[in-house]
Amino acid sequence: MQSWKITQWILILGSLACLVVINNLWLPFIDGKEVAYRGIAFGAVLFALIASVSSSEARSKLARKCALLARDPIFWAATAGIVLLVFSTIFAYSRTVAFLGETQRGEGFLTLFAFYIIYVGTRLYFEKKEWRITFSIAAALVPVFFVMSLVELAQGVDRPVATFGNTIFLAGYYLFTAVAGMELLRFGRNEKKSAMAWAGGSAAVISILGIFITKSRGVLLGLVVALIAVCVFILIRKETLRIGTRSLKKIAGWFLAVVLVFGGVFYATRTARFWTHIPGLNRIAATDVTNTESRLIYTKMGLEAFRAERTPTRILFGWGWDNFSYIWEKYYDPRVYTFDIQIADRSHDKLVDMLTMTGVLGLLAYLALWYFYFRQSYRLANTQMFVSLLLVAWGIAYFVQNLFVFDTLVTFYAFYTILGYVGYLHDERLKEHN
Amino acid sequence: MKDSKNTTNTAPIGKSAQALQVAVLGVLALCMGFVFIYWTLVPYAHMYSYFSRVESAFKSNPSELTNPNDPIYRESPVQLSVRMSLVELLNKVYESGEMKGDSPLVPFAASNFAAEVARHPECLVNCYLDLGKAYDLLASVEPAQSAQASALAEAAYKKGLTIVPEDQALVYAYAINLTNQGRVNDGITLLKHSLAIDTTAAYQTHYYYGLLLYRADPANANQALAELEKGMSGGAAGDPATTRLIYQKMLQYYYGQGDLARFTTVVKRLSILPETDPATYKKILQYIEANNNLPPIQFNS
Repeated sequence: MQSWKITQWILILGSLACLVVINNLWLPFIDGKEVAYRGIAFGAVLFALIASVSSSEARSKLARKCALLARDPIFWAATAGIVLLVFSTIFAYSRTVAFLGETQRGEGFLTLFAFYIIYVGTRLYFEKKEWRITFSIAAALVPVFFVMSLVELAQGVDRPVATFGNTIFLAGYYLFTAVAGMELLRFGRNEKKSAMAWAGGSAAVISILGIFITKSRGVLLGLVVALIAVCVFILIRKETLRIGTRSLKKIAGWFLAVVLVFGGVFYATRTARFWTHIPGLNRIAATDVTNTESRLIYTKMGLEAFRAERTPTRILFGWGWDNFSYIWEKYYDPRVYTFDIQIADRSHDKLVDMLTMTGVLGLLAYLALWYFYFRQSYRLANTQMFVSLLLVAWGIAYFVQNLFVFDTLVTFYAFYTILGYVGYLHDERLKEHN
Repeated sequence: MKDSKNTTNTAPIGKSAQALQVAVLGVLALCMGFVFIYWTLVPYAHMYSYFSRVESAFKSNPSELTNPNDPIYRESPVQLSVRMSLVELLNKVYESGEMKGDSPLVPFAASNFAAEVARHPECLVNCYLDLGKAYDLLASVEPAQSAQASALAEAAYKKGLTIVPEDQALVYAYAINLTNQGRVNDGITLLKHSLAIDTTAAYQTHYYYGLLLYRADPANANQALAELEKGMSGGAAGDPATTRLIYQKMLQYYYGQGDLARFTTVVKRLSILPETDPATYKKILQYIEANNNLPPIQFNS
């Protein structure tokens, strides 16, 4: 079973891949990570094979885990997505690009399949200990990113990127590390390990601060929407919810009131100089139209392409992954040049991306994935209210911020890791029921 | 290894199930191994090696890159991006003024990139823009090949415009290319067409239109100045040295014409352009404001 353990550790390495930056590659922040994630997927499969070949215990254990996995609707939605991606690649406008991926994103079918393998790997090979290690590593990296961000700010960089190459991707990853930190906090409190609790809580708080420093409006909006949704969720629950002796409903009510009042005050005074000194809020107050205008144009291009090209394969399977650039070319709108002179390879709206690149079926599979994610997360509330709230909040924040941007390698990793974790919690819940 | 609690059957699985499990994992491992080694690790290792040699090639030893024993295999997924990045780098080095004479890297980069573009029909429109710029660069650094290189650049821009007919970046580059070939009026026609379809502020188009109008004939100065100002007031940016040169010529022209209004416009612009002498231009503006007249100026011939 040594190979089993190696498989687990290779999958755990995924939480370190966000650190990989290799100069002397065309895109230092992307190319190295692409190599890392594909390598992790290959390594995990290789050692899973060795484990299965060399140990009947490993084969039996894997079979049991597969049987459990087969009861996870998230797994089936993810699998449907990958299968549909195969068809999307076959019928793609450029099969080469859809299969190998554009060099500047490092995605394509090959990388997305690697992430699917990593997700399935975590579902089959991770137990409580491995999840804890993964979250610990993710949380431990938060101060590293934060310090790097502060150094960049001190050097005059407006929006820090740390090891991510793009500030929005860093902000999206901070959502994941906030979850990791909060779970560590929960583990620490449950097991009376105060160091773990403090480390986790600190990582969560620093992650939120980090989001403000990145000044990513989409992620901030996602965070606010998530917090409001969670407060409403708590308020409408019938049972009495408590943190210690305090009523969670009261806390949620007060928090909601503060958010609404603050939101109103902020909106009314958004032109005041005071807000220019608060990272994150200064960018929201500034309401820079450049990004918004160009993104609206890209979204319109995507929808125009979907409307115009009404062949069955385009409607059902889309243009193929990473093929949005061809939509940009074919449906080019000269107005975009004023805002952005580069080729756009994404519509900057995840749903439009899925519709154009993977068609109606791909979009439905993606939405099904989210439906099952929220359903599974919500069901956890019966036994684990805190975790349920946390995962619902993450899901809302992540979904909302993706309406203004797109996934990249690190956020794909975060997304599939959280999916895997929800599946694991679902398995544990089933075991308790039985 | 201890198992955690589980609810499924703990009996060993059948032999066929075991065989299926091993077969699936085996096929996956083979496929992913191929993907990882042939399509990921090896190409990026080659790319790393290539870019590691760029600095040395630029400084002293071009053969670091022009060596025919290029390890990047023909079907490598990074071929196009490697060749494109060399072309873009050479253009940057040239625009920064650091290129020393005719570098053998320029024809090497242009021909290699052209070969890759030809092999990749899925190439995006920016490939043709970069290819055109590579040939224009070759025309600039190797006068003997100027006519041929400019024609090849024109072919690349034209090809790009068949893909995205309204791509402004292509239009500007093509218009400059036509100007360099002595066909300024063709460039002007191109920009006029772009202005007709570019329904937003089109500041950059106005800038280039003004530039070409002046190059076609300095007697177009009035219209050229209006277009340049329209462009730059909206944030258009062009080659700073070219802009500065044209405005300095206009300064002399309008001074000779006694056109105070346009002279003032030119001085205001020169006072904020990079690498000019803002103090001098500000003094001129102060004189005009005080005296409502042209100041006495001695121009260097």
